[in-house]
Amino acid sequence: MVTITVNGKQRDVASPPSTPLLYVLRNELDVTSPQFGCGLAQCGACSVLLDGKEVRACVTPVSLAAGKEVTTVEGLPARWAKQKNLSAAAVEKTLHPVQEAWIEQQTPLCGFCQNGMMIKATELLEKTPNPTDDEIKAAFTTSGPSAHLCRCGSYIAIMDAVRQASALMAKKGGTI
Amino acid sequence: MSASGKTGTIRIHGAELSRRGVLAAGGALMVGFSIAPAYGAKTASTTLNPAISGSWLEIHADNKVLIRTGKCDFGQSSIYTAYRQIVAEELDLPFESVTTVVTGDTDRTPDGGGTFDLLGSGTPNLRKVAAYTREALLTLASHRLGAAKDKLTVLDGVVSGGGKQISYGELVRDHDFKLSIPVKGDLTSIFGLTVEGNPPMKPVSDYKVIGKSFKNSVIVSKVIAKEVWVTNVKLPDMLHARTIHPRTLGSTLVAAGQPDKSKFPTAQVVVKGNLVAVVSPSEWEAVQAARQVAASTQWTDWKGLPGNDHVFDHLRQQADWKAVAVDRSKPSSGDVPSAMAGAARRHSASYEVPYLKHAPIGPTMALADVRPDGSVTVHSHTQNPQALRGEIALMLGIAVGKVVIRTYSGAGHYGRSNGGNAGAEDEAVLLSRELGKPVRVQWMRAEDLQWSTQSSAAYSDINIGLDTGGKIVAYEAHHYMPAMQDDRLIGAVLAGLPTLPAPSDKGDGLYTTANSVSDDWVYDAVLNLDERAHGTWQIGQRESPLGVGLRNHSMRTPGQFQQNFPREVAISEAAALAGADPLQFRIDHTKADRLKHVLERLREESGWETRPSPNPGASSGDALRGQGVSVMLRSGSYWACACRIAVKPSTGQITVEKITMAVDPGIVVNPLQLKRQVEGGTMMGLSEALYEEAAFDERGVTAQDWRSYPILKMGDIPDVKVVLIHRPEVGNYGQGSEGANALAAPAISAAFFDATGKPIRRLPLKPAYVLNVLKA
Repeated sequence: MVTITVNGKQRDVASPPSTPLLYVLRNELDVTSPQFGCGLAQCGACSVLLDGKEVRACVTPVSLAAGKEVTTVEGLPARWAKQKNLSAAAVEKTLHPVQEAWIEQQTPLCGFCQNGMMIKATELLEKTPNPTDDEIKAAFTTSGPSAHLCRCGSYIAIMDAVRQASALMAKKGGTI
Repeated sequence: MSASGKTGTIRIHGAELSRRGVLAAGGALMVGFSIAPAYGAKTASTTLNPAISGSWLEIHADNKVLIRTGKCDFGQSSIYTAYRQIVAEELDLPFESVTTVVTGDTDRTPDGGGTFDLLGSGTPNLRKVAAYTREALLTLASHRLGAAKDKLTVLDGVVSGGGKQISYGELVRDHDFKLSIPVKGDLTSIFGLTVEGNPPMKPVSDYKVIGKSFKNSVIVSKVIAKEVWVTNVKLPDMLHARTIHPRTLGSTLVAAGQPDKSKFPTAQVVVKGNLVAVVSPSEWEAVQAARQVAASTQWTDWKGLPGNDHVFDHLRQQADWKAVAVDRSKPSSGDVPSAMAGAARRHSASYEVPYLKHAPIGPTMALADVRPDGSVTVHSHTQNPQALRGEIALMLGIAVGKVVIRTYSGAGHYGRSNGGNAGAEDEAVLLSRELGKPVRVQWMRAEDLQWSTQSSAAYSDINIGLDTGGKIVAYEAHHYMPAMQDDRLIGAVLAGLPTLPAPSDKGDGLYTTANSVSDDWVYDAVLNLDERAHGTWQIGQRESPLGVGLRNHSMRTPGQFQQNFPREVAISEAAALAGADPLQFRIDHTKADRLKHVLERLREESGWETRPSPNPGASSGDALRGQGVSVMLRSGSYWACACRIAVKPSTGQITVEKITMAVDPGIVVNPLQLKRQVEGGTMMGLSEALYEEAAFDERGVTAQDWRSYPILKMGDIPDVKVVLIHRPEVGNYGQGSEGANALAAPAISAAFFDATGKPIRRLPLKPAYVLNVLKA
């Protein structure tokens, strides 16, 4: 049996070790923010952070996540709270700055891809707190297994939101 | 009627207000429809009870308002923003009073109809519903306050008159009022029900809520991972299915493979005619077993398609354009042949638009639960739940009342299901009925590209005659496009069960092979005009043993995109022939003040260089640079687009450096949301212009993933500017992301011509094609 840490909680996985992490999260562990988009690591709808690195859950066998920390959008507030040493009570009222910016900028259109977009933005801003426009574009286009695709065309709103999230993070306590 | 008296009915502008009793607690005014809705000839039953749950609008004792719409959100936001604003405005309430929006469930919402043109076509149902409700509330208030109705005023839901005040909540408290309003239409048709009559509506000049930026309430739940997406719905004992579609668009089943039970112990194969599926309690087992079963399933071969390299030769030489009447546009007039013969200069060219895929980021998925009592519930993401309901009932031969469609958020698919289905729904129903358990059908990426409908390929022949002064004296367009609205359920077709008709020469309404002129004419200074649209069958439809072929379905700006691209590129080329600036040339050929104004604003905001095209001295570095413009009128909204591009002659690469989009929708209901919608549509337009073409061979669609069907990436986005032009006096609510997608392609093609002096007339503008054009 594989044991993984999902959003801070240790979880035992009954699915066979070769099962893609996406199906384990969605069907067995009821963590549903990663979406099935292509099953080919070509779109980013299923992205999660694995020890802080954005990976495609649709092609990552759950065995590769054994002993590692998986973060999904559900876990972004707690991730931020931990990084900022916020109290447990504060966690309940906290959103990750990326989520705050995503709401403030009214970023999602249909929103199906936005799980992966927020995960990618979090990965980017943890490494590069104040990215240039070119760095934002590169993160979402060439940095991972594929570009993160949005069919509704929310790319401008995503750039606006990443810039705002960067500013919010700086305001809330400098680099993380 | 006395509000405190006995039950009675009062007529208000054709609606009926009645009180059904006194309630111990709470109280409400509920607004529903007054006649049993027609279901065409299909059935007379309805589960909608205006008194209970199907009401359009409810005013509650706590001053909160609930609205219901049979339409769904596909990312347009209008249902959660504009509809709330419109209702709040008509009722003189703050936006925040409309606390609940119920959408798109056939047992819980009225009106039906497709989710498209949410604000563009006439008056949205909910606006009239709210206007009727306001009249009813004022009638009640008049009795309660003892003041004449026409002396009452309303501010934030509080009615004042005769020196007294009463809130809407107090008016309905402890009462059970019902307002029935007149409707017409067929609930399960693509258009659904329409509210009738003419209740007095608030003058646009008094608007306070409309015109302001409000946030979209559904965005929060999506961003904090609390939204119930259709993909998240689970039912007890649910089975996961993967369908195995025929090997070609004309193949029939010879023998279905079987799963290796040693590897996939709980997988099971289901065969219904030519529909093959693998089901399992485990989704991953279903995926793997389906792969193995697909590899060992045998199909007949079929090679009945021309292949995309020959598609336009096929359409020109093989397709039958004579079987249906040619549509001639309403503005067509004058004597085109004589004017053309007398023209000083002529431009004649053909333009081609390829097959496009709706290409949602999530492939189609549905969960169906068919019960032993024959009731059917489908959990889905469809733009038209009532139409899907009718189609499922038709397929199973049961009453519409037996079918409930529930809708949830899902991946946007831009028109693919506006006639009811996106692909997986009927397959889930057939499998659930067969297995007696809920079945969740999830198409894989390749299936979603190869077995879904597409936006049709089309071509146009355009002739333009200019006089010696460079003015257009004659414009002639012939638009050719196969049928674009195939609403058949693919699972039903494969299983040999009843469906809506395939498009044909005998078909009426939507299901005809006749084409129509869809691009509203804007150059009304041209005196001699002849625009015609020619239609035919879908390619392969009649030849395929399955009756399938390349099924088409409307996709954002359907038909108009295919006609506007040729028109606008041709107008830019004609401007060049006239030696005129293409933007001023457009202004000079229209009498429409709104269009002139949009173009003038575009000129200012985009940094447009006023000069004739082409501009051969425009090279800098290793790239040639050019500018292009395009315009469109759609649903009363005027659009104009300017772009600046760079062309690399060594590689054929086109880079869009800047794009400016100006739109006058009439009333800008919500500037923040409209800006995001226009940006999104513009990005889709760039994607369609630069990348998109659904490749197919003799057997079927060969695009199978995001590499073989590439779309725009973030790294491609140019500098984008959106200019919203608020014209409240127009009274129209206008459009958003639909419409915006059509403008980029003709503007980029015109910019290419400006940069290189070479016309480019076929989409998409991929490097290999660009290199060929540059060599020519």
